[in-house]
Amino acid sequence: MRIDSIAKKTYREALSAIREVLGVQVQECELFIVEKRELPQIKPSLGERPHIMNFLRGFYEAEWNTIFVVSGYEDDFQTILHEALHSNSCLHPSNSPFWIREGLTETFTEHVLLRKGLSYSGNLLLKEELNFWRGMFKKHREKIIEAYFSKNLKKCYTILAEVTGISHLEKKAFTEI
Amino acid sequence: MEIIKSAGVEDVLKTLGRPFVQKVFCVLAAFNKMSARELEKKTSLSARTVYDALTLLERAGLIERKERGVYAVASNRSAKLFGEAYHHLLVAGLAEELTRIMRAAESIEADNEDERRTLLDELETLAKDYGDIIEREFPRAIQEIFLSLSGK
Repeated sequence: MRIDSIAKKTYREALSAIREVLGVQVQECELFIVEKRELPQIKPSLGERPHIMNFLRGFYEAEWNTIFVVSGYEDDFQTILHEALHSNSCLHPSNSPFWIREGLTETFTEHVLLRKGLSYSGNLLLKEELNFWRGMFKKHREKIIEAYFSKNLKKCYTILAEVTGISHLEKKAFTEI
Repeated sequence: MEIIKSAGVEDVLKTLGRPFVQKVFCVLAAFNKMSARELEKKTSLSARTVYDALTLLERAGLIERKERGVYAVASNRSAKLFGEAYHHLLVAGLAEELTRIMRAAESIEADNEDERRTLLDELETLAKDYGDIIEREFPRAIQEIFLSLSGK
């Protein structure tokens, strides 16, 4: 694991883009470059699954408040922006369903990239989830931003329930919506 | 019907009617060109079966040998059309499979370790067999599904 100036620069540009486009205060976290062979030390389940490992670019570990960027992706702005968003949200894999956490993060990733005049390589698997959150973001921009960047999970879900009109949405699968 | 027969369409359909031939053609169409050895790995078929499939496909004019041991979809119009159709079918199948794993990951209980392992193994198999196509068609999908499962 190592610190890398290119990744740091990309990360600072991503944070600055989030501040500028979404108008929120964001915190800087730790950021390390990790070699593929080192990944099983961070994600033990990868030890038995080398092919998944080949397709990892970077991720945020909430427990250590650290972004790990896989070597080779130091200047991948979209990946680093996506993880920078995760690192500033209270929604993590341990406390939120995929469709809310990734749906919202992808919505913000896309929005920031497009507003900065950059291209967005869409996550086509989340097409329906993205459409749902895009619609919500369009109608309730400030509330959605407030929910996502809130440090308080309960508050985040309360706001999301209010704007979507769906109570306990964190307990529902997207197919139930 | 005679015209269709003489144009070789019947031969093509008959050739693609065999599941093992379809499998080889489908993978070849998705990866553009590939050696017989690589096709064995990607399709999990035996060397003999891959060889038979390649012979039939070549005879039907659907593929051609590029360089030593490397095959590609033939450059004629009908081979290209069939190739595109098969590529789309493969991508649609992958989307369905990834979405199924993604949805299952979404509803999995945090303490259900067996289910989590099963889904991770299924994702590993997809990454092994079709990782390059998945990454091209659905950027970061493998990563996001993995992170969702490993974070449970």
